[in-house]
Amino acid sequence: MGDVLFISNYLPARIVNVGWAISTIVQVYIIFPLLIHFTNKFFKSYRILFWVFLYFLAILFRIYHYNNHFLEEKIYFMTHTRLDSFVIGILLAEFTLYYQDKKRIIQIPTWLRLMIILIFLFNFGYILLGDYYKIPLMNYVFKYNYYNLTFFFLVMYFI
Amino acid sequence: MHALRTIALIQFIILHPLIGFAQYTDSKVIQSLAHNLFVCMDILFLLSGYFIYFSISKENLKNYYIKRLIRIIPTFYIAFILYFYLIHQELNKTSKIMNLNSDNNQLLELYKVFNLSIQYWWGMFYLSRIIYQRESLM
Repeated sequence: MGDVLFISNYLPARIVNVGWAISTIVQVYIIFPLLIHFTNKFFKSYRILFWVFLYFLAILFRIYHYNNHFLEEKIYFMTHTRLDSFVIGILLAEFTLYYQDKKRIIQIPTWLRLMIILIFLFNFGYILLGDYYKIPLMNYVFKYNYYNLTFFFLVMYFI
Repeated sequence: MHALRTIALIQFIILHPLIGFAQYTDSKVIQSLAHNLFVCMDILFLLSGYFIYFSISKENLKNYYIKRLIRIIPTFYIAFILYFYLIHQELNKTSKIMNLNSDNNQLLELYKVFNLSIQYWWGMFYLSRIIYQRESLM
């Protein structure tokens, strides 16, 4: 039933293992457009701050779940603990629009571009081969930030 | 966005199924890979946030909920039904081939690995299809 109503990420049983991801995405697809609409309409000047706040809120939720009644499933499957990856996508979209508007003004030098790509190639290698998952706090709380920030900067390089 | 899409597809279709097998080996490198390949879900979420923003920028809320969401949700249901059907088909086949009624632990382990990999493969394959469909709707 959780899978049918797209709430299986908050329930222990689901038809398919990856059902939690689909549920999370649908929940975000329903809630986020409202947030984007209202922030763009009423808090246009402060919308970036709002998204940054939401990004850190997800980290705080993970820290809370890590310290209170810790269950890996709670952190990995639930929407409120995985919000930051969606939020970074929204910030990326904001950045893309901003950059497209100011394309003639912003010029990134070649050396800086090379440096960015080297840093993120290193990061990507570290994500795949590193052993930070052995540190519990890193594994359950901060690894998601490591992933989404890496992809954020990686995509920024290609914009 | 082509680079990100390529990374996502490689993750979903080629790398992710390896998780199932990698978890049962002694190799440290493969174990690290297995732990760290969950990164693919974050790419999917990042792409979702990115696409939602552009969908909303292009039209008003009412149109978004009526046109886009109603068209996307059936896709998820189709993915669920296909996934559920395929997994059970694989389960039945594997049970018959391996005679899982016996108390052979090795076979059971192998069966678990196989089942996990198939699940990830199909799940991630359909999720990546959903990304493409969503993009074509934009």
